Amino acid sequence: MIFKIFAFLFLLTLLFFVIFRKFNVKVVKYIMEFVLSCGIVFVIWPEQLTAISNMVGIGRGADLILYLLCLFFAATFLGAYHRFREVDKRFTNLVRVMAIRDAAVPYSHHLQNDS
Amino acid sequence: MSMNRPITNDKVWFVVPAFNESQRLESVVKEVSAKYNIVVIDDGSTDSSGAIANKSGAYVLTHSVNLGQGAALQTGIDFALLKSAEIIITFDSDGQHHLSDAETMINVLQNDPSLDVVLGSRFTGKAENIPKLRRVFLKLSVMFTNLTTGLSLTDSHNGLRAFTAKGARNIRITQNKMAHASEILEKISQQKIPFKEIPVTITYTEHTLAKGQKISGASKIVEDLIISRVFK
Repeated sequence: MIFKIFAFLFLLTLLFFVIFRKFNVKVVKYIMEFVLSCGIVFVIWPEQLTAISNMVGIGRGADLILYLLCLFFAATFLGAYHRFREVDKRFTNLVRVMAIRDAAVPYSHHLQNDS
Repeated sequence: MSMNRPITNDKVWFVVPAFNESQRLESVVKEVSAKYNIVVIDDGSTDSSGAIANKSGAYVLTHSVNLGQGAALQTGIDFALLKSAEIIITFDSDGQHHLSDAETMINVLQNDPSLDVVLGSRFTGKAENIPKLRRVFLKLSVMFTNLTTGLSLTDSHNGLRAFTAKGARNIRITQNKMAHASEILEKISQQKIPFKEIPVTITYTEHTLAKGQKISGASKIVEDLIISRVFK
């Protein structure tokens, strides 16, 4: 019972955060609100989750959560990786532009110009 | 088609990536810079590679952090194109390539204007002192590359290549690390860039072997390539 209360309060706090925070992508906000709301509902009435699991052919609610978590993890990982590649590209360009801007002319050319 | 492409030496640029290569760089730069333009990309070295290359007669571009050989090559190619290079040679900094082979490549491009890329092959040429295990690894990577690109090459990870300005412009290297070698070949295949493979000599020394691509790098290359196919 104690855990239920903790989980409920935790999810509720998160939900408030999401509701009152600005998101660049609206869809992400809606998805998070939906997921958190589901979480709250299923913490209070876990048997509902099992009912839904049975509807899609999964025995237990906990299994459904596990599968969804796997999907969520994979999606998050791919998204983060994609973002990393983008940042890496920008970083490479920055270093490249600096390198070309500060190109050092061969030493011997300096000598020729000086004389 | 049979007309020659007249190119003077000052339109030829050697692009040489270097990472902590101060020991061997001087002789490479001196030999090349006596006849051609050379740009060394100091890829975040912690030794005096950049200064040595500069003193020996090379333009030096400094990556403020180490990005990898692929990134260094692209930086040098960008620079050479800015300097209106007509032929760009990618050349290793550790002395395992021979200038005479690069000059053969220049001749091939001059004599056959239909070509945009010349690739070196150590397996139709000579691979001096190549260790057995490395030979096996390289042969496997050739098989893998031929399978994925549809080209029929005899060498896939040879750093000695020659590009015309057009060829160099069309092949943009986005693989910062070692997977750039396969990436170049992929782009040649995708865009049907006319190329020729010619035999070259690679001389392995104790030094090149200690620094060169390790077998463990192979799995990283494969990983980079698979990921690059997922995230275009």
